[in-house]
Amino acid sequence: MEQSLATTITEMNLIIILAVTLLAALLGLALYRVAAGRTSGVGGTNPKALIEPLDVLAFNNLIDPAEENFLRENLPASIFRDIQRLRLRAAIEYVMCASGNAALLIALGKHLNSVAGGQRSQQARELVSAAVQLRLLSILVLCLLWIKIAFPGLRLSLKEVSIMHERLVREHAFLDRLRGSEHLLEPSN
Amino acid sequence: MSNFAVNALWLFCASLQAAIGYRMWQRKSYRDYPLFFAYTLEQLVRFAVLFYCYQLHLQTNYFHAYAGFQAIEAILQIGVVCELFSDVFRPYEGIRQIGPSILRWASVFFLFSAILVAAYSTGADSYKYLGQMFAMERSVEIVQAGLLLFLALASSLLALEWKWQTLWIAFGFGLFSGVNLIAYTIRFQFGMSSQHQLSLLSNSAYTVAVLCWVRAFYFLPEESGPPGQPPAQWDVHSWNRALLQLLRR
Repeated sequence: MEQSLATTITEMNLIIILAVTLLAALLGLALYRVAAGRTSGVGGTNPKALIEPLDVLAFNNLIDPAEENFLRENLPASIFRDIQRLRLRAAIEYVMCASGNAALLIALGKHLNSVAGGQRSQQARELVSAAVQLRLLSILVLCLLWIKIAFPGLRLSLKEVSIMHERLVREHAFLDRLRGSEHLLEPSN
Repeated sequence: MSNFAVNALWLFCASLQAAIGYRMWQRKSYRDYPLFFAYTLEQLVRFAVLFYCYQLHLQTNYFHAYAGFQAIEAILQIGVVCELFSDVFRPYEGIRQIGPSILRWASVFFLFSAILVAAYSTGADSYKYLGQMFAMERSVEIVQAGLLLFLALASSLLALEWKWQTLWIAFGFGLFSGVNLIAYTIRFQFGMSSQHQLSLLSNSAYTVAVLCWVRAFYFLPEESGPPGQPPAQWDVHSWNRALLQLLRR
């Protein structure tokens, strides 16, 4: 009895040592990742070239609840689930693309904010805010999409994502049009 | 390690921290990092008191002073992590409000984890008070390391950019806290047998952490803040509304 209690205590201690070591290692990795992200800023590259185009119409179609209802009503349940999963996987690709674009726009906005003044600085700050919101939203939407893949019958509307992305792209285009901003977006030699 | 080497390492760290404190005072960085500045000053006072007691072999006084300073340091360290949290989220107007609530929930989670770890572990110290102190220090390190990890993960996910100074301060705390977490855990489980090696490991990690902070205040260009900070008008509220809408579905 005493021996089994001692064994349990030793095992528990070992688990605790492993858990704290894992926590420490994860902390190191996470901080390294932050530093790596900090060093690979937009300074040396052209962010416009890195921003991936996003077909908003196709994405809207993928997440359209009416389209989903139509498929649900006209297809056998098992086929609907398979097709819905494929559609959701495609939607995930779009959201990840939007999220990547948002990260680039955050870096671009911060860069512009640090070098520009007046109206452009204000616009750059708004761009950063909007991009951060999109990034946050993308994370939430990705979680929801994974839930929908697990349960394809669940009714969730995700149209807001595309509206927000359109808005962000419009904002970026406006910022780009501002006189004198072109040289800031070109790669530095 | 000889007594001379221990004293030399002690003095080296204290002189570096005095240099950090001086630089912060000179550049008025205490306005940006008030709790880190308080932590640096606390470390200097702690050094003076503990070094005095150590040299004069005032064991009981040393022990009480050590325990007292550990308690103050624990509060200040958690405070510095909170300061880093607010510093990382501050430039982003749209999500500035989210920072404190994330911090609050993360604190509750890691505090609960620390309590669980304390409840399910058994120490090997014959001197019960010493064992309890190491258990408390380990709990503080769990909360601190956990919050730093959470901050790093959240900022990576949201693609938030850290100031170099903040990053190097976090590096120092991360390293110190990660190594101490392991050291205190092993020390608590195995008792006095591992004392010397772990003490050396912990001191070395602290020295490297201080070097990170020296780098943060001496070897990095000062980053200028954005020119003027008028609040953003058009986008933030609609984006926040959209987020809420999505969450309510």
